Amino acid sequence: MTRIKSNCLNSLLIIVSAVVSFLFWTGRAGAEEIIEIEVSSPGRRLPVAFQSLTGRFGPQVSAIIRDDLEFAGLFEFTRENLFIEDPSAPFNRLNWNILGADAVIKGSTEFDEASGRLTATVFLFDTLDGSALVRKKYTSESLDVMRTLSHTISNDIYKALTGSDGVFLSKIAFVAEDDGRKWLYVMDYDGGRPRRLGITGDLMLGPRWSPDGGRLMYSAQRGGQWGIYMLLIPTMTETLLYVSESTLMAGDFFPDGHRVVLSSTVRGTSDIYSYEIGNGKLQKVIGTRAIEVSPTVSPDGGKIAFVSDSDGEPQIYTMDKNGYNIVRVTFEGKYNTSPVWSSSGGRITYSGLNGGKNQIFTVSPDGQNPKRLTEKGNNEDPSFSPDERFVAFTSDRDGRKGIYVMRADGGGQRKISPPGLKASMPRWSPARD
Amino acid sequence: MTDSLFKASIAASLLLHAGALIYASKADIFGIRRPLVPPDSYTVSLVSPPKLEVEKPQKPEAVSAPKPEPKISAIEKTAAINTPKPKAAPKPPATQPKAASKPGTPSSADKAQSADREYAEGYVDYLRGLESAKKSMGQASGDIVSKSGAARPAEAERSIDIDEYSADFQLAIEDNFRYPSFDDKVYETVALVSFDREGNLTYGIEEGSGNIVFDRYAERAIQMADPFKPPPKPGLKIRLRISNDKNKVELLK
Repeated sequence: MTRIKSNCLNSLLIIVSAVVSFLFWTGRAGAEEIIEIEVSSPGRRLPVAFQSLTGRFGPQVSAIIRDDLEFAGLFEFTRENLFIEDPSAPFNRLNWNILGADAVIKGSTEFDEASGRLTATVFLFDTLDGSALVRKKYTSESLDVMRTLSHTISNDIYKALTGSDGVFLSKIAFVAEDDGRKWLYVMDYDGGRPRRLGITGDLMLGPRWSPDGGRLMYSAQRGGQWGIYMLLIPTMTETLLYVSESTLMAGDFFPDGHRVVLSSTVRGTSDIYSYEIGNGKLQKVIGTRAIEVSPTVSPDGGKIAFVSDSDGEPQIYTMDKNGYNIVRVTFEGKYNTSPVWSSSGGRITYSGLNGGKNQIFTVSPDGQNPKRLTEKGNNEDPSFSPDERFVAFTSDRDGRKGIYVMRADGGGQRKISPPGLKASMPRWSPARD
Repeated sequence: MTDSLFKASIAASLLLHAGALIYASKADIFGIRRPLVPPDSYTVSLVSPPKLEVEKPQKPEAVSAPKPEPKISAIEKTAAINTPKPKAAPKPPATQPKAASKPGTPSSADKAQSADREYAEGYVDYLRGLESAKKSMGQASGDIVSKSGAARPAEAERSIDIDEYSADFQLAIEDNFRYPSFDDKVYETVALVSFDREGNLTYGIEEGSGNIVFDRYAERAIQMADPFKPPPKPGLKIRLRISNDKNKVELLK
């Protein structure tokens, strides 16, 4: 009896092992191989169809938006004469797929004569599935802010298509010569609405934006005396920060907005100081027999880039915020000045003498990979946009100094300051929502 | 255990294994086909546009007349036929009317043929519209028609292997991936794409890039490639790593 039981048990074990084996092999047969593929693309222009907004002010609003997006250099606009969908007709993706457009901008404007209110309704569609990436209504209380309304729309479209914040609401501060004096100006990033702020001096240097965009710091010589001033923009109130018989040059804000760096010749050659806005405490950062000027603070506040002629000719250097750990950044060219950090801290733009003329360059803070961005005329005073995709600068390429902007790769260069105005020293504001 | 019982057990085990092998290799039991060994090659039958020559005898002037490329009017024509999407679906040539019926006595069959003829004529214009639109915009050829990876007549009826298939898919994704940014920030989206027998895609994002817009463009590139060509091996899976790294495209395997 025991033997029979044992035999049955053995048979059962064999059958179970066979079933397990069966399941194992059939399982193996069903296992899939996964192929790995990598696709790398550094980015390309997105085909976009931009149908002008309908309504009385549709063309004006559309022109500003289109100009913004074209300047961004990331989009390829489908020719409007190929459009088959009526501007007032509902969106049908099939009408746009045929044109190869990946995204479509369309909408309408309405203007209320009685109140002066302008309303724009804007849609951004994905032609693959017809989904609306932007579906928004924008209202301005008067036509005076039509540009602001348009730039706001541009920012939203740009954000939806790229994932990055646009700079279309940012400003550029600069100095211009008018009536034989220097004046402080502010204009839109594209040159729209230039405004003289009423701040003047016999000489004016380098307006600098505070990190929150609410203040401007600049140096001005008035009555033979140099001073560093702070302008509170919302109230247009000017405050004298520091005054000296020697030459003073406003440097830059630290990220906390409470401290600044500046250069002064109070002890002979120009040295670099940090200055506490709250208590007026001045502290030397670096002071040697050489000239140290144009300090600019890195986005994290840990480093200062500056110009020194300690090696015999002006070159760009970086140091820790306390003046230690000095590293030379530029080695090409004999006269490199006006350094400015990019918002990520990954690049420094500067002006360098090349072939007898000043040109704009960018370089990594470690001195690697210098790139020349300009060719024509003298080009100076570069300033990165808050998204570091653009650079504003001064150029005399058309015979008179003016403000220009370009993409950070040197593309799309164009003059934005008013014709006839001798303008220089642009500084791009932080981004605005 | 007796020898006879042991032998019987071994025989039963062998029988079970044989059954398992047969089942796994070719059996179509319970409606489930589970191929054990993938075919060495796979014949791809791709969908082609309707053979337009069929329409020539009926309305030769519409087909053969070399239009002087008034591109806008060509596009305008396509608008009329483009809106109802079902018409745009290419029909197999067998469904095309054989010849035009005699005028004057329109039967129901004639009406059907006439409708088909109109559709085919419209389709001619549709293709012309596509071509002229592409030329007008200076786009690379194949940007619209071939972006799905399907309907390449020259590739029809030929065998492809997995390496070639995955390389073609890689090219289609590259072509479709249009992330409009030139930032230094590098993003990477990892997606697992499965191909059914007809080349229809299903996918899932295994790892997002941290940038939802970048992920959307990666998904868009995959969606644009759907449907792709029938795969050489049903159930094929490809893990895609889509990035904006400036390194050259690399086929890892």
